[in-house]
Formats: sequence, C-alpha cells, structure tokens
Amino acid sequence: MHNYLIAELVPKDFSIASNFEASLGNKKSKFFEVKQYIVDNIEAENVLKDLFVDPNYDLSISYSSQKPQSLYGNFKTGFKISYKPGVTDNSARILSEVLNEENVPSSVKSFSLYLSQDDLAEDELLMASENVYNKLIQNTQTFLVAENPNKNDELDFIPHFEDSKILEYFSREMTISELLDISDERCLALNEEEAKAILEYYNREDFESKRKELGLSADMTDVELEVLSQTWSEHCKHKIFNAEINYQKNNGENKKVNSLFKDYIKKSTKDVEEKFQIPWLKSVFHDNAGVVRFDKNVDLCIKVETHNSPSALDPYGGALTGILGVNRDILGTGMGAKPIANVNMLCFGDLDIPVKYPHLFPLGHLHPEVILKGVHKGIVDGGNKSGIPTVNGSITFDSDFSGKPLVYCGTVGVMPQSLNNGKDGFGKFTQAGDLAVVIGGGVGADGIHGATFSSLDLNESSPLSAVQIGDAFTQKRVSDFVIEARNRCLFTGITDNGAGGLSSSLGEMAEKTNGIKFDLSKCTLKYPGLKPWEIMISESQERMSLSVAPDQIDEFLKLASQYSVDAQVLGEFTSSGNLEVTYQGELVCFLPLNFLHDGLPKMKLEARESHGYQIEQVFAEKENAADFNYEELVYKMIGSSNIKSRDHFVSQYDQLVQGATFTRPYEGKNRSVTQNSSVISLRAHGGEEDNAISIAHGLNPKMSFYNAKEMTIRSFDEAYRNLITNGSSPEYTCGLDNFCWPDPIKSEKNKDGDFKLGMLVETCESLYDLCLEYGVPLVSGKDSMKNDYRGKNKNGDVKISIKPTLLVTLMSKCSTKKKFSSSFSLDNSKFYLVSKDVEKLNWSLAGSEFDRLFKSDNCKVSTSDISGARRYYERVSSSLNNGVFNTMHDISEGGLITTLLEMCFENKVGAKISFDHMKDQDLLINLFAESSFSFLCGVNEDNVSQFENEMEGYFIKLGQTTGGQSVEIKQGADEFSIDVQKASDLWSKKWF
Amino acid sequence: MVLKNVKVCVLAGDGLNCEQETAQAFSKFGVKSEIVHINSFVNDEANLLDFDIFALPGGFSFGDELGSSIVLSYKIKKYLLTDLEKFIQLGRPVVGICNGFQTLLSLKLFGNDFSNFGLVANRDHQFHNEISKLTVNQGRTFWTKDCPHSLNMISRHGEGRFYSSLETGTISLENVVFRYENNFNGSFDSIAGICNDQGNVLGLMPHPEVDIFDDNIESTISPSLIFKNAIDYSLELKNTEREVL
Repeated sequence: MHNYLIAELVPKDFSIASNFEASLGNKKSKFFEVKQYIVDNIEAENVLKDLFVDPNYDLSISYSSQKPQSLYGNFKTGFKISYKPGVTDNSARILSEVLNEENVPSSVKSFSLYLSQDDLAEDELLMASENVYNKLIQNTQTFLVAENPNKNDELDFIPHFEDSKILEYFSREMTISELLDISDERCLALNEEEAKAILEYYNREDFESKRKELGLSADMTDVELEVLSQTWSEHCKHKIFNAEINYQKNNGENKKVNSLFKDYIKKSTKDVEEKFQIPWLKSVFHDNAGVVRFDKNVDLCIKVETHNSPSALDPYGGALTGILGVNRDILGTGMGAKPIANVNMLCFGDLDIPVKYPHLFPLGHLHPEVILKGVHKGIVDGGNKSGIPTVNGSITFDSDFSGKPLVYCGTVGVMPQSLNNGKDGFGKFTQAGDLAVVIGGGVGADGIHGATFSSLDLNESSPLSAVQIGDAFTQKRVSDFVIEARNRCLFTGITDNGAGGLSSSLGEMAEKTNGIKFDLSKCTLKYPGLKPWEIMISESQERMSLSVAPDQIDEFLKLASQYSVDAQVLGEFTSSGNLEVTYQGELVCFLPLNFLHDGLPKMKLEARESHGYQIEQVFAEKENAADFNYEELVYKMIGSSNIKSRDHFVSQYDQLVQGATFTRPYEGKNRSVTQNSSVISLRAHGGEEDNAISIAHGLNPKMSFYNAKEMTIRSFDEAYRNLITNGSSPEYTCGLDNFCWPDPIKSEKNKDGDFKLGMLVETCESLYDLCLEYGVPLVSGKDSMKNDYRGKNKNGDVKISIKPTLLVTLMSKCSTKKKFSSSFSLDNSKFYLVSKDVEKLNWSLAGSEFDRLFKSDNCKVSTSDISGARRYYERVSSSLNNGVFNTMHDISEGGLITTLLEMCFENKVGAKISFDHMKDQDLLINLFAESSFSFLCGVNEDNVSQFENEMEGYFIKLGQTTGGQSVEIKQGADEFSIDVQKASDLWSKKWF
Repeated sequence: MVLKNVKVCVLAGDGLNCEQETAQAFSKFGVKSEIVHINSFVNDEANLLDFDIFALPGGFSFGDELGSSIVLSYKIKKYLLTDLEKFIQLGRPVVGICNGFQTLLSLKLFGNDFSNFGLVANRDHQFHNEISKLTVNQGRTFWTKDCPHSLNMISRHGEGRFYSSLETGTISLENVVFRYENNFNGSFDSIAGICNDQGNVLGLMPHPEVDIFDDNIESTISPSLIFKNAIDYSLELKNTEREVL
C-alpha cells in the first residue's frame, strides 16, 4: 500500500475560515472549513513547507491517519467532502503541477473538512453536508473529531475503468430497432430515420469495398457510431431549426416551412443587410460567432450559448463550463478574438416553490435556491478568474423554471481587422498539409455525451459523465497563448473544443480542406484507461484545436511551452474527403465527410397554430389583487423577486477588469442607479478614442403563456429600448437570437408538441418582421430544444416544461463622450411618458410581473403594432444625444410605477404623478402594465419646450419631481402616496 | 510624443489578468511599459534589472487555488527574488496591486512590522466590486505625492482582508499608506495599502489602474496620479544614479 502524506491548512483563528450555518430541524450548527490535501509521495514534505507560508495558517503534515486532536480546538464532529475520481479537482491539480515541477511527481486529492463544535449525530451531519455537497460529483464522509477524522473509506486518485475491449464493432446487419436500443443504452439520441440512414450507408457496396481496401471491417466501430451520433445531435446540427415543417393554421390552411433557420433567421439578416444598406457585417452564421465592424481599427464578435442541463445537475460546474465554453467560442472565432465582456441571463424557479408546493415539487430535484447560488458562484469564478468583466445580465424567476433552469452565457470579443501578415482577422486559412494540433488540458472521462445528453429530456437517470467542472486558470493560460500566437501569425486556423469534443472541432475544421487524418493515441490524457471512442468525443474543457503550417510548428510549440500550455500534434489536414482516425497504429474510424456532415436525414415535423392553445402550468396559485389597496400592491411589486435589486449578485462579479467598462449595471454611491445596458470602451482594446459598444438584452417568458408573437416583440423591443437609453446608434445595431424551448416534437409522451412547434414558427415569423422593421441583422444564435423535466413528485408522475423563451441580445455602437443615467437628480423637474403610440395606448397586464403574482381581470392580450418603430427610435435617440433630456429609463418588468420609483432611489427624490392624460386605462394598468416602446424621461426645466417640440406625437405629460420623500399618485378620484425610502428598502432588501 | 527614458515592467502570465490596463496606466504618461511573462524570468529571457519600475498587477494567479498568491510567490521566490531584492535596494519603485499586493506581502517585502500579516478572505467571504473611499497617509511615500487626503478607488477582490492572527499590539503603523473609510472587508486598522520603510515598495488592494482614460464619472479624482509619481521619481532616481556614477 502507498504511504500518503496528509497536509492540512488549519487557520490559527477560525474566524477567518470559510463557514456556513446549517439548519438541522429545530436546531442550528455552524461549520468551519479546513482544506486538506492528500499526496501520494512522502518526498513532498519540504516543498509543502516552503509553499504554505501564510502566517495566518498552520501547516500540519502527518503520515499516519491519526490526527493530533489539539489542532481542532473545541470541534467535536464533522464531515469531509472530496471529488469523485475523474471529476476535475482544480486545487489538487495545481498542487500536483507544483510538485511535479519540483521533481516530486505526485498525485494529489483535495478534501474539505467541515467541523462543528456540536455533538451531532450522523444523520444530522449528513443533513448539514447537503449545504455544500453534490452527490453527483462528490463523496462525503462523516467523522468524530476525537476518533479518526482522517480515516478514508476510499482514496482513489483516478477513476477505475471496467476491463473491456478497446474497440467494439456493431454489426451492419442489425435491425433499426436494435440500433435504437444501442442508442438508448449509450445515450446517443438517434431517431429512427437516422438509424436507418446509418445502416443503409454501411450496407452500400462502395463504402464496403473502400473499407475492405483499408483493411477495416465492414461493420461500424464504436468510434464511428459515437462520432455520427454526436455530430448528428440536435445540439450540434439544430435539426429542428432545419426541419421541414407543416404548420397548420386554425382556419384550416397549411403553410410549409423548409427550414426555420434558412427561411427566417438567415433570410432576415440578408434582407436587413439589403434594405438598410449595411456595410459592417463581416462574418455571420458560419463561424463560432458573428463578426461586425463598429470601429476603424478593430472588429468585434459576439456569441451567446446556453448551458441548461448541466446547470440543473451541478449548478456550479454547469455555469462555470458554460462561461468558459462561450469564452472559447470567441477565442476560436476568425483567427482568435480576445474576450472583453461576459453577459449572463438566468432563469430560475421561484425560491419558495418547494415550500409552497411540497406535493408538486419533484422529489430529489435540487432546490431553486441551491441552483441559484451554485450558478451564481460559477459565474463569479468563471468571469473573475478569467479576467473578463461580467457586465450585463438578468435573473428571471418563474415557477416553470423549477423543472430546468436556463443559464445563458454570452461573450463579446475583439480582434484585429487584419493580422500582422495582412490576412483578415475574421478569416480562417487552414490548408491541406497543415498539422492538426490540440492545446489545453488533458482528456478525461468527464463531459462524455454532453451533446447528445442535452438533446434529451432531463430525468432521474440523466448521466453523470455529462457533468464537468471547468478550470478557468488553465483556460486563461490557453487564452493568453492563443492571442500571442495569433499576433505572431503562428497558426492558420482555430476553433474551440466544445460539444462533441474532437469529433466536432477537428471534424468541422476538416471541412475547410475536405479531410483529416489523426492519431488519438497522441492525445494527452488525464489518466490511463480511456478508450478511443471516449478520447474522440470527450468534452473535457479548456481545449482548442488549431491548424499549424509544418514550417511553423517548432516555433508554435516553443511558444506554447513558454506559456505553460500543453500542445499535441495529432495529425494533419488532408484533401482525401474523409475523416480518418487511428489509435496505436490501427484505423478506428473511417467516415466520408460528406456523409458525416450532409448524410443526416431532414426531419419532417407537424406544427399547429398556437392561438387558443393554453400552456399547462404545474404551479398556478396566485393572490387576489382585489384583497390589497394600491399602496400595498406597489410595495409588494417593488420588493418582488423579479423587480428588486440584483446588486447582491452582480457586485460579486468583477465588472471592471481590463479597464474598459464605461457603464455597469448598478452605479452611484448607493448603487441604486439601475443602468439599462452596459457600455465597454473600445479605446483600451485598440479601438478609436471615444468609441464604445453597448450590450443589452430582453426576454419575456411570461408572455408565452398568452402569445408567442407578443412574447417575441416584448423581448426584442425591451432589448432595443435598453440600448437606446445609453445613446446607442440605431444604424449600428446587431442581434443574437437564443431560443430555449420545451420539446416541440409531438409524440405519445409529448402530446402538445405540435403547439409548441407552432409557437416556434410564430416566434420566428415575428422575429423576422422585427429585424426588418428595426433594421437589426442577426449575426449569431443558438437553440436549446428539450427543456423539460420528467420525474416523480409526491402525487405521482410529473412533467415540468419551461415556457418558450426567446432571449434577444443586442450590441450597438455608442460613444464615451457622454454618460447617460436612469436616475433623477433634483433639477430633472418634469417627467414624461415617451412612447410610440401615445394616441391609442392599448396596454394590458397580460404577461406582466403583476399578472404573475396576482389574479386580475385586465389580462386581455393585444399584439403590439411594430410599424414605425425605427422612425420613432431614431427620433428618441437623436433627442437624447442632443441633450434634450438626460434621464431615461425604459418601462419593463413591474411597469411604470416601479420604473418611476427606481429613478427616485439614488438621490431620494420625490415625485408627483397624474395619470389624467391616460385616464382611459384602468389605474392598475397604468401602474403595472409592461408595455412595449415606452420610456420614462426626465427633462430639465430649460429644455421643456425643445423637448415637447422635438418629441411631438410621442409623449404624455406625467408629472414632476419634488424635494419630498414620497411619490404621490393620482388618477381621477384615486389618490395615494408611496414612501420612497420604504420602497427603496424593499427593493434593496437582502436576498438570503 | 517622445518617450521618457523610463522602462516599466508589468508582470503577466499564470492567471494574472490586469497586466494590460496596468501597462496602459503607466504608458499614458509617456513611458514604455512592457508586459513580461513570468516564464521569461524563469527561462532567463528577461532581466528585471533592465527595468526602472516593476508592477505586479491584479488577477488570479494559479486560480487562487491553494490560497491567493501562494504559488506565484513561491515561483518568484525561486526565480526572481534575488533580482527583486536588488531592485528594491536600488530604490526603484515596485507596486503590487491586488493579487500583486498579496504576492509582495507573502514575500515579506514590507519589513518586520507586517511580517505576521496576510490577506485573507473578506469578512463576509464574498468577492466585492465597489468604490472605496480611501484616506491617504500623505507624504509617506513618493507614490502618493500630491494625492488629496481622500481618494476614490475601486476595490475588486475576494481575499483582501489585511489580517494577523497573532499579537498586533506593538507594531508601528507608520507605513500604512491607504485606509478604507468604509472598512467593508474587515481589515485590521482598515488597512488598504502599505509601503516598506524606504517607501519605494507599495502594495494596495484597490485598483488605481482601472480608470485608464479618466472617463468614468464614478471616480471624481483620478487615482492614476500614483503612476505618474512613480515615473517622475524614477526619472529623478536615474539622474542621481548617473551623478553617482
């Protein structure tokens, strides 16, 4: 048996240790964390002593498993947590790197000991451990401090693999249903048509004879089957967006859609480009991210991804890998872009759902609060440790997201317009004969089947191997290296390794030269025992694939080593037309690229018009609005989970690293100036002096309950208004579409799938119209199509589907010459409603936060009329930029009244408001409706006449600010008053 | 613009992430600042003594995994410390910001009074991103020459609590340069930044480099003055060095 060395970092004073308080039935107990490392080389002692010299900690090193009790002072009981073998253990990996460099090669495992001063029983300790422990990826073990805290039940440094064949063959003579069984067993997510296409191809004579020539069996290898399945997954091929759809309208007519992607998304970009004569689109839809030119010196790219399923199972790891993944997308765009801003849009179940609906909430499902905290920590670490400012985002609560949370992660990147060799920064230049190189971390068994797993619904037996933890540090090294190698022109092409692993990254790069040949045994592995198919599709993080010209490989590898980045030459790009993969000299995969990329049969789907269809809701209780007076309603709204300040969350993000953040989410000395969009200066990134970009987004899943088209308009228009408030330029605005949908394929298990697909069609139609009206080309997008949870609750079987959600992210050009604010200062004496259709306001409470919380009769949906929107916004933008009004806040979640209150908070300004010019609408509607096209604007006394002149036809007078401490509201005979301080306290009330 | 004859070295690599804006914070005052990867010192491709000012920027070296700055200061101790000590002895300016401060402190470059101090997790164990109003100990070091008594800087850290678990009764606080007016992270004596006896080594948790172009309305007085001070001092120092020669 090995002799292990146990190193422990014990705080001299436990008040500095990380701690938490656990609720254990009717008592509470506080736990303090101690970090422990187990090293399998006893020679490590001296290095450890030189390394851990923090004066606030004692380093205790022991060899036996018995610990001197004195170290733990008054502690009595505890539990320890470690990662399961094979799960990324970042601190252990770093320690092992240090020891290896000091010529003390060691494997290291890290533990967190949590100690309590109370005498707790085993079940109490286990209950407490649930605060910090995820059984999917970690082990836990309880102990009595007096007995033997360091006895370890298991001490595996690496995973053990079942001894089975390195390469497995599947008969080409099997039936379709036999192949589908294999698909189920291996989590391949193949459908019947696809299984049929694969079997047919393997039974083709020309394919058989070609394989025979190469000495390869006519049957398919496991590597080939896995490669086909990953490449053909919904995640990688977007089959639903490319499907042929028969859309049946309620009036009996049918409409054929050839491909939602081509007919609406791609077409809108082309049509907008023509209609508005846009010269700044540089690369759209065929790279990792869209590239635009908003500056004379640099180009920009932007991409938003989702990481929903992994975040449902392991919130921290899921969010972290989501962020690092989209950062790599940017790093792999064109010839490599530098990430300059992260954005995160999150949707969670209401935090009180498990308590409010104990019988309906799925058993064994993570509590929404655990998901929220884990995802948040993942974003903190993902952005902060990568040195990328997290500048924009949102958190939306809705009951249906307790089935599956949505975690949208986006990144903006900057790249030179032309490289030092004169080539376009946004291009790719891989040639046959270039070497195929992979850089970054080693390959492990983590992240296997991520692409197919996310193409299935989430259930109790979802595979653990799809979950992984990111390593921001390794990726930062990779990122620094890529940018330097790009500046020195040391590679010819680059892409990220994401879903599908090598099979996707090299498989896609091979399309450029029409072929690739490489050897899997040249890959760096995290530990031995992986089979070729696992190496091929593993999504182990922090890796990039590149093509390097043979005469530059030495310099490339030398630079990589200077940056401590592992690089492996796996093979070369060819023009053979094939994907050829070997393992230890043996051919294990031979697939013609045209079959791999174009052999996928087109799906044929049925859709129904969704008008009249009602989404089923599992959690549907609401309070009755009539039970409260206006004051009570306003206070409830301003403190509601979707309205209140998110400063607690965003102030833990590093918003300012890279020194280019001009506008961030909460500003002012009390951080109660809510900014609608974020602004990043380009000067620090090599751009023009006063040039900047603004980023904003909008989403409105609540509206899907009523109408997909209106949901689309609200989401798009909100994002657009958010941009306008920062003085952004309508001429330079691009968009991204990210769809998160419940399963839209009708089946026995999913009876209303055709209506959900109908909503998808309607959303795409509406998005097309919006892009054409607003003049916004879509430059990138993504879809996630299986956001359903199937499981059990105390009442039996339960299925929770998210509401169809379109996230619209917009990026625009703006300036740092002037800063805009959403907060009243005292001299903003008059304020107005500015809106597109003030003559015929037709607001409704449908889909509003008010509607989510309260029952009321004002929820008839009217679809917004978008015509004239561009003209209207140009007018608003030009008046704003001319300085006619300088306080502006868009009316979104919560409605007009919460918008007004938010404008009063920072400077504790009071206001008088009268709705007498809007008296055709019920006061509840005037207060709480979330209407499109609307802003509240403050205007200085001196500018009033100019404002009224310039904005004629677009405003309604509402009132004026006062020095008082209250907002006084009046409509007809109704009058009431809201205390600004009280509202502000509710708005900024602690979350936990 | 003719460049002043001062060469700044900004350390980079292994997870540091503020090197670009730190280099810009110096170069906007008309000097050449070079971003140098730590491995260039390891591989003897760069020589610290060729530079006039040394800046250790913020970031997450080695992901903060074993504790902030633990591995970076170990690496510096092994490959750079001899030159760094000489550099300091020559009186040349050294600044450590955030992760750089953590590193200089664990290398014990601030003298005996601070040798029992470390920078531990903030009192609430959370990363904070906020404007800190700082009180400046004016006149203690050239770094803060002409600084107002009170200065806004932005703090962005999770482990910035200046703390000692040992007896602190007898230490001299003369070398404290910055104190938080609102001690949000629970630091001993509200300490945000300190210097060595000579005054040429400055360490601070808040980020003076963040507002490179002074265009963010949130900070009223630009803290980038401290970079200019170091450059001016360095020019003077070089003149004296020449005279001595």
